[in-house]
Amino acid sequence: MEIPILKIDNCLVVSIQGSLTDTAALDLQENLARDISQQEPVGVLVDLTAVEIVDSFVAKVLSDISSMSKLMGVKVVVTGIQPGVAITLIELGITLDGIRTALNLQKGVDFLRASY
Amino acid sequence: MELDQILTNNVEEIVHETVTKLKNLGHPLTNKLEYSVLSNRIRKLVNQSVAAIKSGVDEGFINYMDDIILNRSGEGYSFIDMQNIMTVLRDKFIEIIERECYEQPDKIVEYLKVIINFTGESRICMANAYIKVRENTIIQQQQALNELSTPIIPLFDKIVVVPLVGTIDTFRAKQTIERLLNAIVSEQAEIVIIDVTGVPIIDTAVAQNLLNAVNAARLLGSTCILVGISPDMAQTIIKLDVNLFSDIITNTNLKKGLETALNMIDLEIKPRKKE
Repeated sequence: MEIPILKIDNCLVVSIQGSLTDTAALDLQENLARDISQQEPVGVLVDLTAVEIVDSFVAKVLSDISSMSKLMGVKVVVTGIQPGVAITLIELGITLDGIRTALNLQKGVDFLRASY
Repeated sequence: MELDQILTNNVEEIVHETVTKLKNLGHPLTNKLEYSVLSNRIRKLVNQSVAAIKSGVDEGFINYMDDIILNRSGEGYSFIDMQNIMTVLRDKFIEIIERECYEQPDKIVEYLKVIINFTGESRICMANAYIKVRENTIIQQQQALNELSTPIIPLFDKIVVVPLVGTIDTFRAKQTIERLLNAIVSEQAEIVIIDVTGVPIIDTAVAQNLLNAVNAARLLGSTCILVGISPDMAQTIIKLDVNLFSDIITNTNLKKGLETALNMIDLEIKPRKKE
């Protein structure tokens, strides 16, 4: 199942629903990189509200997606990380350093809006 | 005559003499209990012991020991107090064997061996029972401690406070992080103030646990403010050479932390205007 990358105003929104397979995660990384370079958005918002569980591979890919987007010069905000997911990430040593996080989609959108 | 038979025939004498001897020794049980109550208890112990001597130390005897030790330790009698009763009882058993079997020296040897074995085993039972009681107490206290420890207080809209008290071991840290994260989600808290005023010592493990809490909260989208680091703790952190807290907002005390927090969400505390 491919994860849709939606465009609102000048931003790309990725909302991940349910569990993420390894291939879907890698596809997302590739598609997002392509879309960023083609559409030149100001910000990217990754919403993880509906993700209850991540494994080490998906966690790494999510972290990579965030760092990659930041590297390509767009503002990144990750929203709605669930407690269980946060604990997994911390235990894996993934702290998403330098990447903005927000409690929910609304706050993430507010943050991106404020930056352009 | 069989050993258990000899002892059964002399139960009343054993009970009476044991109680008397305990009284002479000034055993704490004799200070608090009437003669009749104490002798009933001793009679029960003698009967159980005779049964165990006859058929070996079985589950029934172990359960009986667990039971009395649970009650006695609850009443405040120590392990030594209970062992002393066993010693008096053993001496009395030996005395009776010597008297009843004086014509059969080989029987005496045989029966003494049985008595020695039995007292040894019963002492182990007793020790085990005491350990069980202690372990239960420890488990109960740990549960009580876990329930008491680390409340997570919604202080104001979007602000929660975590007052940490006592040593933060990994188990507690994990539990606290879990509860903190759930509180952040349910309260939609943007700011978490972690107050470490009540944390007496800090080592690398505690520091790492604190850092994990801060990072986990950050992943959810809240900002952590660490307050109440004591001078000693600051010195230790420097000596530990952990550069852990360089990225974290720190404030001297909870008051300052609250000011910072309110400032971050564009609020302030002001005196009310006089009419």
